Amino acid sequence: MKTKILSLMTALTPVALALGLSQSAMAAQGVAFVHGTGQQTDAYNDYWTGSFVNTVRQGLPNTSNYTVINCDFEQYMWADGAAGCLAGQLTSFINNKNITELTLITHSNGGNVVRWILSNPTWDSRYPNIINKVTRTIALAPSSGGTPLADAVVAGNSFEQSLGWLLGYGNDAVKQQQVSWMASYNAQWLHGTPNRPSLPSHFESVVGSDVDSAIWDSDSYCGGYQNQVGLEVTQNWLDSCSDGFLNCSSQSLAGVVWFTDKSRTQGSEPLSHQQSRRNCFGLPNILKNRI
Amino acid sequence: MINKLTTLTAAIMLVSTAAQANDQTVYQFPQVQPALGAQLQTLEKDSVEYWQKVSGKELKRGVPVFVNQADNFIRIAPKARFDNGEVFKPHGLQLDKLSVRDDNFRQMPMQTMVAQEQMENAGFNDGSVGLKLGQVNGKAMLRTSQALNDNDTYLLHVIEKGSSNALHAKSQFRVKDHQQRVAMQLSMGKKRFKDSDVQLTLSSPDGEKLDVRYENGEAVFNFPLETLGAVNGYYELEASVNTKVNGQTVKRSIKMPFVHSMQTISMDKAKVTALSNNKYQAKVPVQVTESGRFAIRATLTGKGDKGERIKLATVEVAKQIDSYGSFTMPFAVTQAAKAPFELVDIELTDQTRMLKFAGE
Repeated sequence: MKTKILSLMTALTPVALALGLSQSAMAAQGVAFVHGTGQQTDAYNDYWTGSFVNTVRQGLPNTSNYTVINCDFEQYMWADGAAGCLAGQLTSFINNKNITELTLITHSNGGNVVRWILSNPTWDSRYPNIINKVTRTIALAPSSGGTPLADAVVAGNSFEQSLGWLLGYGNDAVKQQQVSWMASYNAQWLHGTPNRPSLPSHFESVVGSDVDSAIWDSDSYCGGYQNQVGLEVTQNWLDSCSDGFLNCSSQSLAGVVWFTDKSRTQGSEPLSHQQSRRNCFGLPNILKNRI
Repeated sequence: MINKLTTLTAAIMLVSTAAQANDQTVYQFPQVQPALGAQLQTLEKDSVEYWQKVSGKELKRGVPVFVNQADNFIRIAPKARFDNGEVFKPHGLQLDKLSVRDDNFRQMPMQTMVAQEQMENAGFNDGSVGLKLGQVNGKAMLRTSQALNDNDTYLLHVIEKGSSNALHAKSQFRVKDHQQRVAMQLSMGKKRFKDSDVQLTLSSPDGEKLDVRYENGEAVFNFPLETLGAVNGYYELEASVNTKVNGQTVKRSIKMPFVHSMQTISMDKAKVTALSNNKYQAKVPVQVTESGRFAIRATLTGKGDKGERIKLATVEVAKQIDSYGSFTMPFAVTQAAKAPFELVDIELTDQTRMLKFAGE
């Protein structure tokens, strides 16, 4: 029976094309969630949370066409454990699900790893096929221009480099996200920033612009209150417009800005760096309606 | 007959291209890529921070803290130290034992004190504590009454956010092979620094400290650099300066990355062949000085109806090359054009070491 259905579909394909049915109607759309700095083995639970992922994927015609990436993004973005691992998992997903149109949802440094693949098409033989499938990247709070916090952590600490839940422990990804290092990568290795070649597909960012950590405000507790308090401390290194980890200018540097948090979130709430990967203020629904 | 031969030749060439392409990774960009700008030569940066290493003994005696404005933050973190092949991590600092006193030994008020737990929440999980001075005094001394070991080391890190006294650095980004001088201009407003004002350190990509001195606006080192390219990270120059602004001591530190570069690949003239069905093939002979994976990116051009040069397509090809070799670049174009066909906007990349070069 299955064979007959497949044969029928095969037979109908030219007919559908002849009738002028759009290619997107025939396309298999998929979405991949790409985490930020850190070594993930269960990003579904530990990084994104199920309520975030399961809400977003409701926007797909086939809600099972999603994958949550688990890689070692403590390495430099070009390393085998980083972009190489991402390429491997995306390739498997594309092949297993016959994905023809892929949307990537990235958070933080995940945007840089994706930009590496999109900007350096022959670095790895798996990249061209991925690039040809990716139709859109939604970059949540991407660290496109790096962060002064990475500089702060590395400063004077070539041996002890350490930063906790934000960046991981003294790793290459921390060094990579120093502002001047990212400036050099953007100038030579990455596309999508001003005066550089465009990325081959649409790259749009969601910008977090503030941190709400008032103890009396329940909004401060979305994503974990302790993290919000920590983000208030980091403001010592950041501009007045930041998500507590990244300046707005860094988040806005590559591609186009889709929206800045308060313009679309429920209650016009800001999205801290922690909250832009969690089920806070209607963000997953906004994404669901976009993919 | 000629048509048949042409078709046959084209078919053979296509088969040949496919065979050669087996060991190549090929990507044709959806659009013609713009000409790449000049290679990054310099980096510029500002700093309103300084950091220094202090000992437990110094912290107990009192360490000068140079803070000149209300918006300030001081971070103190234990630093690991090597001793006889072992790593020692000092005791964590107790916030209630820290105080800041003026030159009359009067305790100065703190606006904020940030305990280890709060600093951890901010991501600094290295045992850091933080504080913000409520009153600014150029002669503040930070000290602790905690029983620290004399030989333990700590990092004192001060930021004056928004300070007008920013240290500006402009430094060379690409340092050629065998070059032992790196341009590094340091300034604060109109002020320039004498060699003796500048303390300099140089770190290799793997964290090794290398001898370096500051001389006439250049970092000078005695030994040639060993690590080529950026694949393992950058070399970093770290400069610290002490200066007086309106009678107040201003201290600043800054770090500048650079890459050690050598031309590891060079190319000879490309030969472009027109195949059938708007397909073209460019063969580019190259030679490399170091074995590795290399790439070429180039845009194919032809002549338009009025003789103008038009860009047709951009392709990138990568493969392993050990000494001599060639790239075979297949182009599929949609726009009609006439000979001569040439490659422009050529960029060569050493993917093994992460280096980029302009092609001929």
